[in-house]
Amino acid sequence: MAYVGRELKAGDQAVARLEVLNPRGEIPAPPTLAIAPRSLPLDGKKIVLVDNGKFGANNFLAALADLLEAKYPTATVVMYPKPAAQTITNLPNWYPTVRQQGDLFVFGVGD
Amino acid sequence: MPGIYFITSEFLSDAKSAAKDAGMPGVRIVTLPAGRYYRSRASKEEAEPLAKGCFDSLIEALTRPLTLEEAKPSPIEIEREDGTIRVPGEGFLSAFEKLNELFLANRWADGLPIVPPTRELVDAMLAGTTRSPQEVIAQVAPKKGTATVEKIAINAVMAGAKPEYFPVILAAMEGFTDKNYDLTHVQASTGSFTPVVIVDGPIAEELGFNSSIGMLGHGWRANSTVGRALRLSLLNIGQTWPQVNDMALTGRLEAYTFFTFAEDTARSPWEPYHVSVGFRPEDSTVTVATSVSSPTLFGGGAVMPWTGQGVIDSIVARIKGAGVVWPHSQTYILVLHPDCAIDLAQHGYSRKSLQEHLYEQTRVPYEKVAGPVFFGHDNEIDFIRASIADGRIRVGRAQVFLDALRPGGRIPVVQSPSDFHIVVAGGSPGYDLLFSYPGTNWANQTKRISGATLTAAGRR
Repeated sequence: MAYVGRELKAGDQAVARLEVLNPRGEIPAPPTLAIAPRSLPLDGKKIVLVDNGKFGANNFLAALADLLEAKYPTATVVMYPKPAAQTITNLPNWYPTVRQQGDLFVFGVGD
Repeated sequence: MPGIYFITSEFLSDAKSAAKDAGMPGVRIVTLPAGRYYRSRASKEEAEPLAKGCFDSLIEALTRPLTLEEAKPSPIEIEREDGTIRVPGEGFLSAFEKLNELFLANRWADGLPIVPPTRELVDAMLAGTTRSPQEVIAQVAPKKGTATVEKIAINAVMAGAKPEYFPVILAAMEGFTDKNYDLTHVQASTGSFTPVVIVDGPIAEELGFNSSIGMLGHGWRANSTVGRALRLSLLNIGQTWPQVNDMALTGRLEAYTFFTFAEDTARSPWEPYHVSVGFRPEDSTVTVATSVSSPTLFGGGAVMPWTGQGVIDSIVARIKGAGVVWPHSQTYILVLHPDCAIDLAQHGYSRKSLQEHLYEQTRVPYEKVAGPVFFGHDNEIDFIRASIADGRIRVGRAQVFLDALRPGGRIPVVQSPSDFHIVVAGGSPGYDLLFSYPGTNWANQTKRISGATLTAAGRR
């Protein structure tokens, strides 16, 4: 063991030192991406509510849909469920399809 | 495409961590109070007050023009994870204590004292394999940390593993990081999943793995430290931490060592598990799998009488009584204690015929499929149809389900008989264990152990 030193005696300063290696895996820096610009207002837009499939998310998003339609009567609100029980890493081809459904998305509800 | 993410308040750090991992730290997130959300989501009517309460925040997040930082975000800075860490002390015990405090403060340890991963000890661990220290095994989810052989060795030292165990640990890490194992789900989900690690082949006995009474308990260094080396490797290389990006609600039931044991091939009446999945008898393997919770116990142990058929009947009743089919994804690991396996074999069961028996007997009548409304589907039949439509039923198996989705049909609870993985281990007397996990296509992996230098087995 790379243990250097001896037991401390009265008046000694630090005399032992452990030299160890870092256990963490280095993370490759991802390319940094900007979020999409917002275009005001929402009137006339097609808003996609993406249901992540968690229990009750559909109820919450349905309540939101009513509010959006009441406030923006010229907007269109559509529901778009994510395939069940799969994490994002298993759906590389599905996420890009959200873009084809409308102009803006609301994704929920994450826990 | 402009958008926002709704999350509950307890998951804000997790969401921000995931956004940064994806290279988009500026993602706009609207939080809902967790305490209210989980109690008001049962119906649209109950959810309405919550939706009204967050509506202004939603509109603001969807429409507010981007800030300069959002439009041109600064590059994400990644910490270097190399170099030597020096911990001084007034003596060895003082330095040891400070080292442990430092590692836990940095979220590099599991809460139990660790063995200091000195250069000398890491080199000794690396001597257990022929593989290069710089060889990259994989990127480990969720943060895609780079798992070199040396990084895994550092964690194996910390866990107290012997160098002769190292090839087992490397093979298990290959399993955890296989593209067909959903490590992100296991590492990060609220589901509090616990990995299961099963060693097979001649290396199990050579290294002293326990496969008998107490196999999931303490007292066997191979079981304990191989499991802990994997725990620490996943924690440190994947860079997870509870309440930050590991959101297992209860924590894991075998938090420090996972469920790590060996198959008792000597007392099994059947071919070893690894042979049943295509490996040679002389191979040594490690299987990594996932359990949604602690295993369910069957059989009588030392307390009650049992029969092999009675155990199987109880397992069938348990599975059918669970109330959810989820055939697109269910996987079971059945660990039979040797006496039970022998009894079943004496009554004519092979492993394969037992798998087929379980598959047939656990099929659920179409009329009784009544799982909860889930994943955006109005009923479970629709859920099964969607599973077929989007390819989650394996090629060649979809027709079985389509044929069963009719009055009088019987729907399998797994995609194929081989989704009942049967291994033999435990005491005499013993209990039988059933592990389950809702994730067939990414549920488990078996890898051959190779490159060993300190054991007779596992060399090729």
